[in-house]
Amino acid sequence: MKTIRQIYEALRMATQSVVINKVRTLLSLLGITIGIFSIISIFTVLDAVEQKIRDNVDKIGSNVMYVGKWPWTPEEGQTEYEWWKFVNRPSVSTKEFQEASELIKTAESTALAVSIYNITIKSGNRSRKEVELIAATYDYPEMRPTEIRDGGRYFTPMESNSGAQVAIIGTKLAEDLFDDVDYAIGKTIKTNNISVTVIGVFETEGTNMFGTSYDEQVLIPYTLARSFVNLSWYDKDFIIKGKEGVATADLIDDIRSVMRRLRRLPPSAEDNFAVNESSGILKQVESIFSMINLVWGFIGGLSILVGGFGIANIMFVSVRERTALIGIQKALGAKSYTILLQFTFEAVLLSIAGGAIGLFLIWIGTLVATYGFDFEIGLTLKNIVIGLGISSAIGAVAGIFPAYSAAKMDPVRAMSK
Amino acid sequence: MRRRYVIGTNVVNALDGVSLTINKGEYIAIMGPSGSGKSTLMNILGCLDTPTSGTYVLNGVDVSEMGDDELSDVRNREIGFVFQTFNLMPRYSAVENVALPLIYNGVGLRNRTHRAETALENVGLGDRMEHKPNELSGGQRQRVAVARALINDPSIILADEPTGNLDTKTSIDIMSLFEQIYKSGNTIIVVTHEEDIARHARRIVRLRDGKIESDMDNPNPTMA
Repeated sequence: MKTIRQIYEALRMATQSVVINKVRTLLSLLGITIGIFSIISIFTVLDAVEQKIRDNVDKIGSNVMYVGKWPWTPEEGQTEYEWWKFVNRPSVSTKEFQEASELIKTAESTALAVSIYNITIKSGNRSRKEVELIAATYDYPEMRPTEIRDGGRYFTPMESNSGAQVAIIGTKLAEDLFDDVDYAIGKTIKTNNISVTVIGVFETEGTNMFGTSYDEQVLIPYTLARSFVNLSWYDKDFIIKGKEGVATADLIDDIRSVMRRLRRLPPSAEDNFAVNESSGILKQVESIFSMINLVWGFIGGLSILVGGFGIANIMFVSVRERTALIGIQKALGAKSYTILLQFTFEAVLLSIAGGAIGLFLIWIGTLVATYGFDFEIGLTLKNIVIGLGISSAIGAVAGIFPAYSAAKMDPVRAMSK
Repeated sequence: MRRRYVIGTNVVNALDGVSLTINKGEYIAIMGPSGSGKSTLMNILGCLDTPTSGTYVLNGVDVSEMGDDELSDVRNREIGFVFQTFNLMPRYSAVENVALPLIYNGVGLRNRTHRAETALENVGLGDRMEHKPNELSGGQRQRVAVARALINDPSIILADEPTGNLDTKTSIDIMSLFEQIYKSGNTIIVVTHEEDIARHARRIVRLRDGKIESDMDNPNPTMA
């Protein structure tokens, strides 16, 4: 009880001193403020970006594999993207897709999709250029979940298999061609002189991290695409969604062995296809950000170090100014640890105040970003705790030496100062 | 007791064999010119310093070998200081100043404030409780200091030139306050170089060159 009271009193005295020397205090806090600002602001931005990426990956679906010619990232152990090797690989054929779909036991569902870019879509006298046309087999929406607006519908299995002249289009495209989105259903659009009936419009999705979006795409049955382009010229994506509970590594192994078998690759040969993980992008982005993290953290660390010296300096000044008072306190019975605590608390308090200013600036920044630039970002409790935690640790370390010098003073000599 | 200071290559015997017994309830003045060792003696009596050799027994306890924190405790409980320069905390109110020693004794805020208020009323400053030292006159400041010295009910009131910074009239006021405290059973040690002040005490010890020159009772103390 006695000790708790001493701690409380030390805290009270420390607070008084901080409040009294406002301007000086504020200036000596700059280092800590800048340090906490840089460290926590990068944490905050990273958290927001990572969250955005995670949301996108969730949209694609976890445990979803893309098999094709091109790996999304340089292969393991390689720093260079060896495009000259990949370009000569065979594309996944319809036959391979059908056989593999049967053979891959760990797959929940599979789809074959092909993207055809730079398509011009016409409706009456209106047209839209540079539209992406996706031709995909029936199960495609399972790998890329999305909703269709009320009033529309998805393909029937019949339509999908027979290559019926039907399409589902994005909201942006519907707006451009028909002004009113709901007006689009039942209308006819023309691509490459083939008429297709719009049977559904996708819900607005927004752009994802790959820069693509259903909002400006057209989805048609895979077999329909054959009737206006030569599909063998196009790179197809063989998409596999794993069964619930199947580990990613097992799924990849299964896919690889089936593909190698179908392509009759001898054990010595390298894969002539790539198995991409939908979360692979996340890993790559994370590695880039961990680099930025390191650099920014270093800068922040340096300014915190400088800030720590600033606090130590101001505390030494403070101790010297109050030497006589320290003498009085000791003469009246204050023990060394009381004085030590008093000055250490003062340093911690200063440092926390500096960190809090930095956090406040970040908070203002997040408001500006969210409401001014439409980039949703927030200062999380975790980051606030980290910021204040770093501040108090620096304060304690920077304050302990001046506080010790105060605690060790001889009362008689101190009082005569 | 001896107290030796080493300053560079010089060795100064500030106290060169002093033997003194002070009984409970005494009112004693320690006199001497500057350099006589009276400040050193006062520091030792006040447990702010320890003798180089010899022992200092306070209330039956040998304090001469104690460490810093133990001495802090002894000062807090046994000694009430009154300084020439008052030594009040400038940003504290009168009540907070008087209550300060109680903090180090672990007394709670309400109890502390109550006791400090009573102490201030006893020295006639009941209407100056919330004033800061710079809002008080010299005499009032010294009264605050006296109230602070009394707050922990110490064994010794140790006053170091208590009137050194006060005018004659105020000095008389303070000395009459001491008289009052003495009469209520406290032990008072006044360190001074002024004859007028020393004559209030019942016993006068004179120091010179670190030794006791004379130690005699004062049969006709000045009554302020």
